[in-house]
Amino acid sequence: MSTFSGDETAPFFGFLGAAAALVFSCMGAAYGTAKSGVGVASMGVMRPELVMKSIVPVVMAGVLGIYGLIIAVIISTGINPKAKSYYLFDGYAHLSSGLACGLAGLSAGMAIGIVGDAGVRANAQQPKLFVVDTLNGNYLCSARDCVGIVGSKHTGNLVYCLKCCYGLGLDWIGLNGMKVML
Amino acid sequence: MAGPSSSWAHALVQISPYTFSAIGIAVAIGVSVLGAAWGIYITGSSLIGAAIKAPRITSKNLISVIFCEAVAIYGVIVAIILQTKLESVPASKIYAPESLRAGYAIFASGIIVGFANLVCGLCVGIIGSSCALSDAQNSSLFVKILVIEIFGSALGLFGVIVGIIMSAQATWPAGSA
Repeated sequence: MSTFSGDETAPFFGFLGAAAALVFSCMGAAYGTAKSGVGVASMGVMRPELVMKSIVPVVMAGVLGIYGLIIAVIISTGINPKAKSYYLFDGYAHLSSGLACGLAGLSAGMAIGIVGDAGVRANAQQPKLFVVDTLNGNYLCSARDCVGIVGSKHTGNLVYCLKCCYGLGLDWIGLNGMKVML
Repeated sequence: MAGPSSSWAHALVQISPYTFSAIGIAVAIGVSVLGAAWGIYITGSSLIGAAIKAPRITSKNLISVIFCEAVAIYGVIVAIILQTKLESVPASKIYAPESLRAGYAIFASGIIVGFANLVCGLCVGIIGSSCALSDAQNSSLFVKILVIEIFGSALGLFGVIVGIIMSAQATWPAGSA
């Protein structure tokens, strides 16, 4: 116990950050998988040959869960008050990075789900729409991953606020862009 | 080391780590089973309805129900693992920093497993229901939609992995009395 340094309750916020990272990313991944999966199944009744190609939004939504897993493991292995001092600053930084990753993952998953659902149904009628559909998910995933890893290393707040807005802004663009394309 | 240094900390140090641990264990199994049940009823009702016109789909589509059930089993396994992490510490050490950290680790681990399994069960249930409905129309679609369901069921596994990694952090101080 003499080697414990840092604030007593800081691990609460740290572990909650890891929890937020995984839980919200999984919520986004589940929404994306379910919504696009329903679109694929409905579309597959009319065009069974397009089903395997239309699984792309499902795969991208699944990747969101993996990102949440990575950030959650990075955060939870970083909470070790005996090896390295763990103050409230570190706890709050982990909480914010977990929330950033998780909530961006949730929004990315919802965007992937809605766009994927509309995209696979539209792709069945117009094959040229395939690329537009797949690009939307990618921006959100990479923006969110940067935010999470940066946050867990305690760099400036402004940097990851901006990156969060970038991710969510693309969310909005993606949804509206899909409507414009059609 | 000084006492609590912020307003949140003043409240949190008054709560026993065993409270947090117990709630974490309960959430791990309770919310996982909620997710499994939710998924099973979504799948089951669609399956039974679709089977009126296409009775051949019933035996194959029970796989969707089994995927939902697996989510509940993950919750049971993790709850059992978490409760073996509980140790009794002497009364003087209950609010020591190390036991507080152990309590928070078990709590967060339970929350992670519970809610990840909840959304996984929902996801697998929704996809299972569309799997049954599209299988009733065209039996070649069953295996393809099953691939999507497998992606969905991986989410529960992520929760279990992180929950078990985090529960390794739950080390209580060694008791002397």
